[in-house]
Amino acid sequence: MNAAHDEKLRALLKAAFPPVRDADVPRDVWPAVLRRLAADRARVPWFDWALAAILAALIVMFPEVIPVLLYHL
Amino acid sequence: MSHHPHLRAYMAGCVFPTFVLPFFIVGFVFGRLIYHVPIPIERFAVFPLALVPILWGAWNVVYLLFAAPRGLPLGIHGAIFFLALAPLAYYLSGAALGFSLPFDLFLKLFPVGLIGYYLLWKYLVGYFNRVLGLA
Repeated sequence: MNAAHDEKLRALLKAAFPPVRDADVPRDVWPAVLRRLAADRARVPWFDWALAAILAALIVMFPEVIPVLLYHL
Repeated sequence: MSHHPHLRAYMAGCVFPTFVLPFFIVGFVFGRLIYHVPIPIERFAVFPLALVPILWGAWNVVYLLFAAPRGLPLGIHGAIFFLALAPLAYYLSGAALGFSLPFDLFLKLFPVGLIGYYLLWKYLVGYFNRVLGLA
């Protein structure tokens, strides 16, 4: 490994990897990222909130079902 | 993430019961060894220890293969699973494992289990499916 060899290697690498043109994104993508994050956030419909409330009420009314429910998990 | 979708579905289905299991076992071991609750844990634990995680994983594979292409919601698929699992647990505990769940307790469990399974599958298993690129 000497300077001449390094120079040759540098030239080969430059030839193998052409310079990147138009590397900039043509538009601002951050709003799209924010929209995607908002879309991924789970939306819970009212029906599921109602079911969760019924489930909580049933568990309060019949606490003896908790270990049996765990048995099924 | 396009490789082995069935394996990923199985893994996504197994995650929650596998996570719950150690807490369940710790609770019953404490009950049995420290508080001397007369529960035959050796027989009792077989169903949640050996079968439930496997069945959850397999049911999620069934969802991927048959239910999802037909547009069946994952929550409904999970509730149907409870309809099959609860009688199996009742039968196994009574006939095969040698202890019986009281039938009135089983009846009380039914609406709790149906709603619980619907919510767990819709939100938890659905989340794991999305994390593993299945939804």
